[in-house]
Amino acid sequence: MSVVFQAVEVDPRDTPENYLSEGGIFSWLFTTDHKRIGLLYLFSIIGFFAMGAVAALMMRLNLLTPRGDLVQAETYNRLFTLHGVLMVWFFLIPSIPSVLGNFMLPILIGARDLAFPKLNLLSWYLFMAGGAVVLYAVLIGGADTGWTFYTPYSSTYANSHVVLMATGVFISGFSSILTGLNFIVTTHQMRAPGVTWFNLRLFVWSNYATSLILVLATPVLAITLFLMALERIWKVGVFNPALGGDPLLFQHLFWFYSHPAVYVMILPGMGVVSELIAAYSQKRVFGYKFVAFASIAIAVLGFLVWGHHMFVSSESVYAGLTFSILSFLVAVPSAIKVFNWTATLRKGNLRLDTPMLYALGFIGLFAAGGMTGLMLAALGLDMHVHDTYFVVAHFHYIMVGGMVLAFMGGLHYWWPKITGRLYPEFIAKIAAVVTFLGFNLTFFPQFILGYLGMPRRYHAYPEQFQVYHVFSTAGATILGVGYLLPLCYLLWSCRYGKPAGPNPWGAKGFEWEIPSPPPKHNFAETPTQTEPPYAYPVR
Amino acid sequence: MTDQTSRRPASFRTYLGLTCLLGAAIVFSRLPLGPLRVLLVLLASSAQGWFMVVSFMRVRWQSHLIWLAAGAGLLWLGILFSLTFTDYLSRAWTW
Amino acid sequence: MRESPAIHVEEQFDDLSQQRESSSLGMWVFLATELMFFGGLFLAFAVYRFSYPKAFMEAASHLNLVAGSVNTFVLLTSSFLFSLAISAFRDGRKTRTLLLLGVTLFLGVLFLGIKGFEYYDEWRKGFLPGPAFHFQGPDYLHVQLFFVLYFITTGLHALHLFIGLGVIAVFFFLVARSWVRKDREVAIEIGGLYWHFVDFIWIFVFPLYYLLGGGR
Repeated sequence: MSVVFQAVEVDPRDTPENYLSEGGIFSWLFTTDHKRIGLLYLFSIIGFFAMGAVAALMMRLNLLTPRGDLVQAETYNRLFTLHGVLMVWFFLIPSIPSVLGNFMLPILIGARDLAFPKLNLLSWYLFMAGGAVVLYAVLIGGADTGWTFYTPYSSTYANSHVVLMATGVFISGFSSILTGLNFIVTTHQMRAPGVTWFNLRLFVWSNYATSLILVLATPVLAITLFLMALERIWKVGVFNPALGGDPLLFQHLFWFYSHPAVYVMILPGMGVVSELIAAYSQKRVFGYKFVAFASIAIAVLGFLVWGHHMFVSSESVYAGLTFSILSFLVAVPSAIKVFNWTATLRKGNLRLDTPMLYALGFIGLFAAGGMTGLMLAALGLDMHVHDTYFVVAHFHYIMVGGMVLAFMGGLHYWWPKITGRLYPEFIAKIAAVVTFLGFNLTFFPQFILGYLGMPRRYHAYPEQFQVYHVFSTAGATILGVGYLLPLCYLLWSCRYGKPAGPNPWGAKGFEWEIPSPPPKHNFAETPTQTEPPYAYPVR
Repeated sequence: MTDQTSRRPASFRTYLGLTCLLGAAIVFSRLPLGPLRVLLVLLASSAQGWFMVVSFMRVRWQSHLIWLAAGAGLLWLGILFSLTFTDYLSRAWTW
Repeated sequence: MRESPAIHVEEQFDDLSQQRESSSLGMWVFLATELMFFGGLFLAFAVYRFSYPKAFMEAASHLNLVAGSVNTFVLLTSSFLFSLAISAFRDGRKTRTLLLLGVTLFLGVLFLGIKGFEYYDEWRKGFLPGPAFHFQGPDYLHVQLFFVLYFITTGLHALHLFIGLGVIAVFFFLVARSWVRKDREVAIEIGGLYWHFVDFIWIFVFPLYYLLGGGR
């Protein structure tokens, strides 16, 4: 079948003035428009994602053979550090909040912009500055500590560019804080008439919960990395036991940030999925208030469980018990969400468009990731699988199977709004299925590997594990195809896609009542919300 | 908050109270009170902090939202401390 | 005072009160993050004070209590004067505002001066951690740990105070150039919040580091 590449002729002079109209590089670099800043983030995180993905690919290729023939052990350590740092701080954390949140949040609440547009631009510059420092550190050799920077290895013994790497993360942390602050104030102060708290879209709720975490947890990471770097530079004890410090204090402080940060990497995804499920079932979200409060509950409970990363450190057993029980509690609001999504699907007018495929994939993979999370929260079982591939598979099911699928789903859902063009539906569906299959082939074998005892972060392994690693690497290749396809057809659609019109999906909400792409100030006049969100004809 | 109550300047009495509390904290710290000493010093200082936030930072005359923001900071600090100390306090316990 | 042009509201806001409340809430959220930032340091202090009480009490008794107390008093006074300056600004009393801001500025510099003197003294006595650290007595390592935390905490506090001084200096300059205007109250109020917050942190740094020592 030959595809005729023909631009759908839309004379630019015919399209009404919108946020993309103004041209020139400076109109982008000095923009304070939340929509343009969202796109700036989109371009940047795709770049970081690509680099992180290349690192992952090299690791997977290396693990094809038991002896690890591709790279040396030292290089392998730097690869997984690079992969972790880039994917966590420069892709996952900003992915949905800073791209889709930035673009959609003001529109969803009927505002002209975020509360502090200049601060918003500053966040992007800080983000890029942090990214630049990290990339510089990578170019001159990188760090080999893992993304967790555990002391005293990082602060005393590591022979790599730990301080630079941590500085990059430190700077990008301020970007997170400012974004979170902006979202919180915007959600409180900028809602249009009729947009009450219980008329808010669930995407806004989840971004609000995410922002709470960003604002309250990130500063603790900042001071922790600062102390670690100071210990390294100044060569005095803060965490180093040889100098009187306690390395567990570092872990407490680090995980006080990093466990909640895990929820930064899933909560916004849950918000997107709530939107998708409602739009493609043409139904009100079942138990709206429960889903909304579950977001807040996850954000708060997420702060009470960090010690489960330290079960096999010398943390006291009693603390371990406490953290284990609290960890089980987080499963409750998460399960509420999954139950409510499935209940929303029931008797819905289902349409299996691309975003919906991603959303359904999300539910399944998130459930699998969540269930294995419960296994890891159990003190006894964790002793067995701690620091094995079981953990790696678990959090990739949440991070990639959850967040990345939700990001792709949200991007497809709002793509017509962002660009004013439709993407090719058929190939997009294929890409969604390929991603799902590739993902499972990559990470499911890792559950087995971990359960059989393969530790994470090793660049070589005994021969009996090889078959699983081969499966995993094969899956990673397929997953790569699943990522490359959207990159191609989404770019293609920017020029050749059919014009979308204001509401291609027949969905409800402020964003579908304004033109695509939206005008510079979103609304000609401040809208009023007259009905609850997702007011689809209830069946 | 543009209403008149929020426009009152910080009172000299509050300032005087803060200074007295500072004096009290210093005096407590020099007295042989045993374990009570640390407690009293920290209480006097916390009282100073409270007046600083409530009176000088005008939280007293602000909306609930500002109370919430200030309270959230304190609450989360409490979480950080209490859960970290579940570890340190129980490390020496034996079965 | 020159009569000001129309009251300025940023384009994303509907009116001045929305802008005011947003700015104020934004500042409070920011202060909550600052509290968590210092919270990490306070936690480190608490954990080590709990683990090594003897060494920490011994070390604390080497700090200059008089300088610390005077400094606390200086900061409390500066905070009080700044809040008076905000009232004066609201009432449009330019000279009084300038005077109060000026004294606040002076007190802030005085604080840094006293702190600098303390640092110098401690360095001279060999309490600066690192190769030059010099302490005769048991538990050398944990005494040094105390001073590591002391220098980091007070240093970061001083950095925040320095930024606050910059903010006050800018206000001083702007008010001197007849910047007094209705829609700018919120800016100086927010500056005040920051200054009070820096004082708030010191209110806890002082007792923890200076007062909980063993006495002499």
